[in-house]
Amino acid sequence: MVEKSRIDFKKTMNSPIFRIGILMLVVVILGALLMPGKFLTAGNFTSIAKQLSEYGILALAVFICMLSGGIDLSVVYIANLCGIIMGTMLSKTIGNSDFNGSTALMIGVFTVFVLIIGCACGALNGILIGKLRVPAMLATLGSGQLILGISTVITNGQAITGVPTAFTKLAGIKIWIFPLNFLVFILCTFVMYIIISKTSFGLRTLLIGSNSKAAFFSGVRNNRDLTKVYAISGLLAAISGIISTMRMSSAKPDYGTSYIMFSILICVFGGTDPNGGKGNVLGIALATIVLQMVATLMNMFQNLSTFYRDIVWGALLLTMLILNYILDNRHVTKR
Amino acid sequence: MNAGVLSVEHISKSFGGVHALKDVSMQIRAGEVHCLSGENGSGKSTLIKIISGYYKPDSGKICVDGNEYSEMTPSESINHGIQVIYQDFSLFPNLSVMENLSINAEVARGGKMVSYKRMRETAQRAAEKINLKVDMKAKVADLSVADKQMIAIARALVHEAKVIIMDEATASLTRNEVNCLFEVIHQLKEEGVAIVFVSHKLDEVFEISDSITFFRNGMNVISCKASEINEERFSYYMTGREIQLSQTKPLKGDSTRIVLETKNLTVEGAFEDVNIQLYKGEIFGIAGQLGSGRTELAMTLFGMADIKKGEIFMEGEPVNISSVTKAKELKIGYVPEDRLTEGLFLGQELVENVAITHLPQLSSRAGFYNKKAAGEETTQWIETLSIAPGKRDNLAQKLSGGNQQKVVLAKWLACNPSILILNGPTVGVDIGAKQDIYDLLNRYASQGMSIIIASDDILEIKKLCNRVAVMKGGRINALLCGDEVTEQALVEASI
Repeated sequence: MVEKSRIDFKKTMNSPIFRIGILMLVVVILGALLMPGKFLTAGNFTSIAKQLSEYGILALAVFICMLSGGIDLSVVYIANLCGIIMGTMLSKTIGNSDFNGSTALMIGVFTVFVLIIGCACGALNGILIGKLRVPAMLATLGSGQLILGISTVITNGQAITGVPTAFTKLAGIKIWIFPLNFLVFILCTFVMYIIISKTSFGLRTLLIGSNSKAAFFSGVRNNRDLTKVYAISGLLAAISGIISTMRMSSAKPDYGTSYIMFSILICVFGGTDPNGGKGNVLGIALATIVLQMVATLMNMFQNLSTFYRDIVWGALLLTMLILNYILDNRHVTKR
Repeated sequence: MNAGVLSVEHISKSFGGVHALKDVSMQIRAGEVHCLSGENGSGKSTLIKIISGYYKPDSGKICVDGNEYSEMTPSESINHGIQVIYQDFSLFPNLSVMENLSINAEVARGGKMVSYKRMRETAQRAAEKINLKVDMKAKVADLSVADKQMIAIARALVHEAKVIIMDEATASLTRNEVNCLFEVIHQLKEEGVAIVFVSHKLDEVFEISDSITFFRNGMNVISCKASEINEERFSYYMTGREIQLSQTKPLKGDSTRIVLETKNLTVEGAFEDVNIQLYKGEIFGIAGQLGSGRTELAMTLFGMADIKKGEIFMEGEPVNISSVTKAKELKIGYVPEDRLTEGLFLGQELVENVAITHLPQLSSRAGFYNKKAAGEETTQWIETLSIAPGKRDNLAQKLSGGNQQKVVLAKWLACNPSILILNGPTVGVDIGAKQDIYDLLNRYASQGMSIIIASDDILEIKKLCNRVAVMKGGRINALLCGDEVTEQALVEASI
């Protein structure tokens, strides 16, 4: 019995979640010590919560694709397209009317419509990758470019502004210290956790990522499951696009392109194997929160130039990646 | 016999407290074929890696050409003429034959510029040594396994090799190709090259080797002349126990109940006009060499090919096995040829490896996966098939070949199939686990499961099958039954 608990402890020590948890604790303590009365405040946490949601959800989208052994580079463009369509439709219909029953209905209907568009974009990726066997990186790079083009045509290359306030006001909704878009992020995380860890679809996704050939030989319909995986990714991207438009009351075709790299980094940071077959939703959520905390903490030092911030940022990410790599490979013996 | 070119004395090596080799001594003479035998994990590979300089021994010494080393570097090993041909050949699949043959020599030259003329000459010379007849411009990836094998040997000869170590050289060769390989080995032998040959295949070991060293649990049990050994002694030295090499007659099955029948089955580019019948409770064999259509036929019965012509009947009813999913619905299971790439999720736990084939049974209607039920089921299979080390959260990659194969078997047996198709069921499986698998198949067949074995291992087919279809060039060349199933008949019909 004693022996068993020791081994379990070792296992915990080695899990990426444990490592991120430790890092989170360190950041919170550092913040409390360095910025007394500023970092550990409800207001600060609200602002952290507000900023991380959009790319947190994008990271979840990239995560499920990475788990299945692929990647989705088109998420940001899908998000922007969805944000643009949402904004345009709302401006054309609601205009300046106040928030009331009929506008609420409109917003609801448009949201569903936009989510379907996101899903469809994702499913297209899934068909390219699963059925036509295009490598995920190339397929999503191509479709991302295509979607960027569509967005540019819709907006004439301009940013969409003046999104109706009846919609943007929703971003101000708060439950206790948690803003609406953070709650959406938490909900997405929870649903993804259920899908990945509790359903047979989640297990199949993991195993396709682990060895797609063996999955096929076991009777898994890889095409169908991969289409679902990328459709879910597209759906998440659409959600991200909608809350981004809501928060900023604007949208443009090439907004937040750096989020793609950032999402991938969060995934790997959160313990996802870039080759597929290994990963954990909780790790993604924690990684997102920790990174935003660090960003906010750095922002509090007024005289710390942004240039230095990038160095801290990159160094932190590399450290964590190297740590993950070393610790994960320590027990693997050469065959 | 000449004096020893290579000998190891009292070599020990341990990895983190586990003894891989304990006080191993061995001598290899020039111009002899020395076979290393032993189950998986018995230390053969470790010894080879010590000789090639990949590992450093903890104690003991290596003697080459009268020089003594307590450890060797890979380049020292190569300079002494020791060449290792690994199972996967370590070739560059995307390069041409010529480049593959000459690239090591070219790199070893260490110059800054590459001369294609010189490379071509090196390659030519290497190819001539063993009469290699392959297009020098062909890409290695497009060649057959046998050709790759020959290229690996030719490449080893580029550096005046004195000792060539072949690790499982025949694992993926057909009998014809093995014969060619053996000719080359005989030729090398005459030139005074010592060959160290690692193989699981009993008949080949007897045929080619002059002496044998047996390994068990990291110790060399015995070294002796090949002529002093017979089959019983062989398996005793391998496993340390007297294995009941079952002499039981193959199961006949119930010939009044035909569970599967094909009529003029044809798949373009693979095989044509195949007519076979499978009885309930028998083990039916599909023999034939690589490329005879054997593998393709097995895969077609599992729904992985487009049928051009002909029909498949199950229990007399025509069926359309158009996909793997369909095959599963019809209760057909398939154990693939290459368990590492097609059968297992190496980085995952045993539970997931077993559960994947029958997730719907392990999930609620809403699609929620019952991990506890899956775990309990896996534990049961681990016991039934005596899989070691038997913990369900072990990763599949940590198991030996035989146990991995049992995991692949478990995942299909868990679906409770009425027909189980096995393609090369004991490739790379050691002799003990092999017997376990044979016993298992016999047990399930006697309980009414119908089993098809596609294999190029003639001894295996003879041991298990009462009826055998021998394929050749995409057609069934002979249907053997009962006493007709002899080694000679199987060989004759397949060549």
